[in-house]
Amino acid sequence: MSNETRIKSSFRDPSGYVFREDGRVRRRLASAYLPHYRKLMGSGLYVKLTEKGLLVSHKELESGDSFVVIEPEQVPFISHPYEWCFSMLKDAALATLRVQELALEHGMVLKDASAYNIQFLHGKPVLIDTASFETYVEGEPWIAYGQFCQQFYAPLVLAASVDARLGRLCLLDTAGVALDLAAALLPLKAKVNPAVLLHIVTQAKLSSPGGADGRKAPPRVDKLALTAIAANLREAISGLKAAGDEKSRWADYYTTCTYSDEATAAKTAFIESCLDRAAPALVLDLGANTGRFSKLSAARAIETVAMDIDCWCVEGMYRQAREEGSRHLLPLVQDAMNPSPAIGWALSERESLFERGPADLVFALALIHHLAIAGNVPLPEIAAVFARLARHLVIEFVPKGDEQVQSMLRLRKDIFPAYDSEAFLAAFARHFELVERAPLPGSERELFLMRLKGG
Amino acid sequence: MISRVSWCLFLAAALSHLTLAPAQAYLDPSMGSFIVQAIAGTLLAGGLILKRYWHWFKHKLLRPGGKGDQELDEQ
Repeated sequence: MSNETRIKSSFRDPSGYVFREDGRVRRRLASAYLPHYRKLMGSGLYVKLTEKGLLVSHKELESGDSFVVIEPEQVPFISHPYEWCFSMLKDAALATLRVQELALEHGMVLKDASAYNIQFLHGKPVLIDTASFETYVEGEPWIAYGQFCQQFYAPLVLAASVDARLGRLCLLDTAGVALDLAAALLPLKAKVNPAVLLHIVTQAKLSSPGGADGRKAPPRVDKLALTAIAANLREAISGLKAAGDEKSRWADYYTTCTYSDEATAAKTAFIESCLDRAAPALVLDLGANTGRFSKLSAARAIETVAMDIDCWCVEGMYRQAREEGSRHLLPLVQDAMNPSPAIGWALSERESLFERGPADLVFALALIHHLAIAGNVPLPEIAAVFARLARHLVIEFVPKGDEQVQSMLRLRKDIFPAYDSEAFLAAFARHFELVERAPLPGSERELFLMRLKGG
Repeated sequence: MISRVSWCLFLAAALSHLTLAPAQAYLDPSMGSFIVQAIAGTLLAGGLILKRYWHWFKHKLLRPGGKGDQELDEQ
């Protein structure tokens, strides 16, 4: 008997649906879609795209007259566009445009250009929706053009012209950033750019009520015009740089370090020993900063998601990982105090951070004081939340006497009488059993490895 | 020969904004998005062709016997 469970986000496209079976993600292609699928496979487009790492590869599991079931290469951790830093969204946008250009060359077209269809696999953006292709019909406009502009171009231009954090606006609407909203937020200097004027401002104007007459039949747009639009968008996006992206910003991250060499070595050794013990397949590093410790697990070919609230930390991690060709590190913007919620239809279209867990191992290094002191979250609450995320937990306790905590308390009243090592251990003991603990030399901090009870 | 076909396509794009049957897809596009594509596509396609010609002339004038038409077409 089949144990097939349909993925909740897979309901929009009648071309088929994605489901989970035997712990694997698979895709069933419907009868009506098969001519397009055959063309994708037979035209050389599939080979071209998979060779270039632009489309996820798959194997056919079942094939009949009215359906095909494929199993794509599995994505270890699904991320959402509002969790990406600027360069990730930019690379995803460029990959989508390249796919569209190659599709046109092979007599096909992308029928959707959703940023959610791009995932980072082996460190690179890749299209995961094999059913996104349709046979090109001469003269038809690109139906996904507006979607591309809302999900990629508008947030990128906002992040480049106003503030790098505006990529997070995608969280407000699964359709992306409404073009009239983008036009309203952009400064005049950005709006006079020809590409912005065309793809955002004019499109927003013509798509607004009272804009173009929707009762008329759509105009013809030839293949050369579609190729030119994709090329123009690619050129415009290639030139974008996140607002405030200056060299000085990076210098601070790489030179500021609160640990002595001895403490760093001890911390590294402890984490390496935890990786040996827990033997995780997936690691989440909460508050990863520059990703120093995430890299330890990624270097062991363990899928590692390095999360930080600071988009510049994530930007730095991503650029470095890209330069080094890292295949197992996925940096994401994530606020531990306000993690990604479930959004979309029935609140189940895009999963929350918790729904994408638990991870085999979670790092919470130098994080707890930010949650307990800066965020006023009681220790038992923190422990309960970590129990939803982690089967194993490496956690660093930063006591009140620590310089960092003292600096946090300097300008505020100490309303945390229960914040101490004893209370910390009691709170976590409700959910976790202690496996190992080690002091951090030259400080009052301690490191703990814990295992989820009954996990 | 470079871009004779492209010229034809451009002229076709410029002159043939005739109507089509509505697109059969699940997305809900706006007419505004289609019109922008028709206008922008025509202008940008013209630019693309001019760019290709410019490269062709540059190679012909500056590097006689350089890259052939076929190679340029492939770029």
